Amino acid sequence: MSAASILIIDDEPQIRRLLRVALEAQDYKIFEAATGNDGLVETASRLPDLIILDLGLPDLKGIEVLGRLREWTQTPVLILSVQNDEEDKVQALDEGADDYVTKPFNTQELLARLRVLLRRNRDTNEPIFESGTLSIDFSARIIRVSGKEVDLTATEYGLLRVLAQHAGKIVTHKQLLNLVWGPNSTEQSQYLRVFMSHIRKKLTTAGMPPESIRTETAVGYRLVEFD
Amino acid sequence: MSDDLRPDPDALLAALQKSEARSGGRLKIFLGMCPGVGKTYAMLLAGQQRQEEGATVVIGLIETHGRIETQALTAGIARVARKRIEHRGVELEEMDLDAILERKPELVLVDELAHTNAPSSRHLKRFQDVIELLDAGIDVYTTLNVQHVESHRDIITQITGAPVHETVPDSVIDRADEIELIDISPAELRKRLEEGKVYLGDRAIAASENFFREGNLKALREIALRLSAERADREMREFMHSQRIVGPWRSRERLLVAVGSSPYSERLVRWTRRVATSTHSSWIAVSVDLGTPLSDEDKKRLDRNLSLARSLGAEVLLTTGTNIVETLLRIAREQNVSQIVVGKPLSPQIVDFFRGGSLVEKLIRKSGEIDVYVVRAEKTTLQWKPNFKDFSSPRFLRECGWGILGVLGVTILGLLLLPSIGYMTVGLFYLLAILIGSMLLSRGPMLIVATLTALIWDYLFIAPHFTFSIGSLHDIMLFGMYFVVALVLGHLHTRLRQREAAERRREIQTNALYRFSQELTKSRNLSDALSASAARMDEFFNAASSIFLKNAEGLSRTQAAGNRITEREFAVALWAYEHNEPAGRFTDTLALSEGLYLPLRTSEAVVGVLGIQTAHLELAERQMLETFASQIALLIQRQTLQTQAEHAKLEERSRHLQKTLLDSVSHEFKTPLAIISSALDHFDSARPASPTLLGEIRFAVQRLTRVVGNLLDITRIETGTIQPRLEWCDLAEILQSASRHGEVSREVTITVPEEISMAKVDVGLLEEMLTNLLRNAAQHSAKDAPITVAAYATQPGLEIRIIDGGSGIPAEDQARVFQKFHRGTAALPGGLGLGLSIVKGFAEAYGGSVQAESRKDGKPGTEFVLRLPVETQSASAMETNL
Repeated sequence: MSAASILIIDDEPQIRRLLRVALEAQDYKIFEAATGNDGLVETASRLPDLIILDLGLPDLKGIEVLGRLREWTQTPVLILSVQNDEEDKVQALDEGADDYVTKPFNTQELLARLRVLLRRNRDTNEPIFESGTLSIDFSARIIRVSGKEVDLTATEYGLLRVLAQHAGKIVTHKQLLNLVWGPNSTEQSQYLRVFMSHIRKKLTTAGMPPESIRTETAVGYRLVEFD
Repeated sequence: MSDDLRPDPDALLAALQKSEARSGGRLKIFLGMCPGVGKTYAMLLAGQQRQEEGATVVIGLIETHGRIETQALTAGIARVARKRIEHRGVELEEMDLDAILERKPELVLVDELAHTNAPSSRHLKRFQDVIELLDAGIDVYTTLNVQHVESHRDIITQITGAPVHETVPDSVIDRADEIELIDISPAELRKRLEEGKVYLGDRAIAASENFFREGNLKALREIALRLSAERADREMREFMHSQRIVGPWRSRERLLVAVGSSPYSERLVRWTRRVATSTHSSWIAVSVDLGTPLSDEDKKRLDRNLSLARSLGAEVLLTTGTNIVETLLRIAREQNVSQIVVGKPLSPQIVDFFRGGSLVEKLIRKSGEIDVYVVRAEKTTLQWKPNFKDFSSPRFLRECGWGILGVLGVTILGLLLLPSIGYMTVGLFYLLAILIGSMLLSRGPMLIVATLTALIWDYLFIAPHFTFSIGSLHDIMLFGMYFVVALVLGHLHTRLRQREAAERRREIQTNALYRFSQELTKSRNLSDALSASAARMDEFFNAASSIFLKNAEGLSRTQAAGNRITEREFAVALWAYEHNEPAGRFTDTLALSEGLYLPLRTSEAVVGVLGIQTAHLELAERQMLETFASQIALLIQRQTLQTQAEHAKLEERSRHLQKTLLDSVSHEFKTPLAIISSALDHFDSARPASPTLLGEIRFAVQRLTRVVGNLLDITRIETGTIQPRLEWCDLAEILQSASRHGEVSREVTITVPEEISMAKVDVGLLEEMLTNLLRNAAQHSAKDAPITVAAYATQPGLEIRIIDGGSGIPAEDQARVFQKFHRGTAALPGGLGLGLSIVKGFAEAYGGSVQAESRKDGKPGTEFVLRLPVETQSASAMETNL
């Protein structure tokens, strides 16, 4: 299996060096770019398997780089930024970023996210999802926790399915609403919260650990994967 | 057809508004046919009763006329002392309006509504005082005799022969919530009069012989009864309207009365008001300016007639036109008028014949679907009075002089040329002279000149010479034709000139307005524009004007533009501002002031006052002034909106700047921290058996990270860049997430009642507040002491209590813990004491609060109470709304 290649677009040489050391230790192949424009050129010439993008670049805004990338490639993008503003996170994710890590970050956490993104890129259509005690049979629409069947309504099932299909990744409120209710209801996030709390209640009563579905404050939800 | 059966929506709305708009006090009128029926007595009795019911009642003013029974009833009711007013050496007593307003009783008793106040009082009439009391939310009981009702004044004067000077407009009576008729039979009244219960002494005898004749009393009683019956009828109809009872709805009539400068117009106005009231319809009074110059007296009378119409509740329209019939009909159609009221023609029939029928005939012929009422004028007061004053005016004499000089000149020329050109040509010379003369002279002198030339021509030039007799038929016809041509020419010319004058006046007005608005738009800022408009008004009205604007506290004392005014005048301006009504000269309020003060109103509010000090102000000028005022008000409003928009833009820009700055500062701090901590992570994974030194570095980095985060937060709070973004969230979810982030490392009990499981909050802010509070609770209690978090619904919003089992905070320190850099005695190392002040800052940005209390259950420890004014809802309620 050839090692996955990762492009780091960040203007801080120290961060680039540090990431290179950490990632090369995991056998990833690393490319670097210090500006947004370089990043775009590097992406086109190297065709990396994943891009780590800083939002505060000197020439282009990170969100612009993201937009220009998404014009032609679906390569997973992980946003790495110091900005802790939920609005920025939501905007980047809605613009097509795949996940978001805030500086200062935990290297283990970062590596875990990278693994999720790279794997998602490889296999997408499995009929059965399994993570920890939770299993979902997409073909039969059956949900089990520790082997016991859990009864969910159609909407609840829809939501859980979307989260499972993006397991390990953050799914924003807008994306969830769009995928489950359609593009006209993307402002109704309060209903989403009601449904999510129902799903959580049902699954935890059945024995799933409560942290399996993580609330990313003001951004969205993430179904945490357990091996 | 069913449309006719439905109540008119407008009327329903009006009825609704009438009942709703009654935020002011209630007015009750005790109505009587004449003095002595016991109105004051009844009023006092009612007042006593209200007082017994527990209301605060005061006597504003009572005239007992020395009647003992009445006097006795005033006992026990508080009395507001009368105000003494000096007027021309005589001391007068009036009701002390301000004292009553200050005292704010629930009910005030005020005798004799029609009374005219002493000249220097605030209002001309007592009923205006009463309206002010009502507007201030005070109930008023008052008394009124039927002869003082404005629209009944004529009839009563006819019946009793005694002129009525003090009247109360019908609009005030319409405002009354209740009218109680105090009725006794004429015989009884006369008996009371004889017993001396009405007037005392000699006055009783004089009164009984004049006013209190049995016939008079019967007629007055009938009018009073009819008035209260009409009102009862109207109330009944209003009730039926409001209750949607289908009844004999009258169609919506609208009356138009043509008002001129004639004294009969007053009668027409009153007549129309009566018809309008009894048919329950609206009415307008129209005055057409034909371009004929009016004498000062006529102008005054026209103003008076129109203000009478206004005070009787008419909508007043001023318009210009050359043809009175067509103008009236045009307005009638524009205003959806169904009936026109005009006076009977007064000009001799022969004049009408030449005009192609009288005005009324023409009106009737062309009126089409509109009904025309022709109302009789009273013969007794009608007399055509030639205006002799005009004949002795210097201008008249001067023009006559010039005219006669001209005639003499032409005569001499004619005599010189007679032999060579013949007397007929001389006649043409005269005609030419008249033509030229009519361009220069006004109608009066022109008529004299025309007659004079005709006579001179006859005397000197037509055979037989030097006699006024004319020999041949040929000459008679010539003379006659000459006479007619001269007169017609003169008349036509005069009319032309009058029309021109009217046109010019209109043009001047239009021009003034145009230039006015031009200047307003040209001005760079508001104060320039206001100064320009004040100057323009000074010029146009030949007066001194000033403009006052409101500021945060009310009307600003220093004028925004124009002239300074005295403190006394400013008080008038203030009244106009506060009551949103014109005041001062030419109005009924504080009429003795030097200036007239108009409130500057926009659709939303009164933004200032326009004052103008001038010796006289005609009706047309007054209208012009009001146009100016509304233009200025619009300008001010536009300016205010613009300033607000600019301010908002500036604020937005500075907020953006601050955010950028904070972001870059945050970037600079956090990047090195990120590098250190990632490097540490790398060490860890590279050498699993990490020495303790690494652990220390890691702890230090965490601490530094937290301190930097707190410092940035407190900067955000202090620069005011926090704006909560509210959205519906699951409260329990936030509490759980906060307890995870707070690193409390122990059991946290969370209780959220179902009815507030959803809250509309800024998730980021709330989570950070709770995280800080939980971290604080964990730090200040033993490692295994449980922490409880409970949410409650309060009014308004949400209350979250974080209860720890620590040693507690002394009461005197409980407020200080939220201060910046305050650190409790038990504080652990690793903080600047910012955590709680951040919570406080966020809570305040929310409009909420946070405080520390000792535990309610008496155990050691502290309760932190976070109160936020946010919406809450139960999840199931929200679900049912899906």
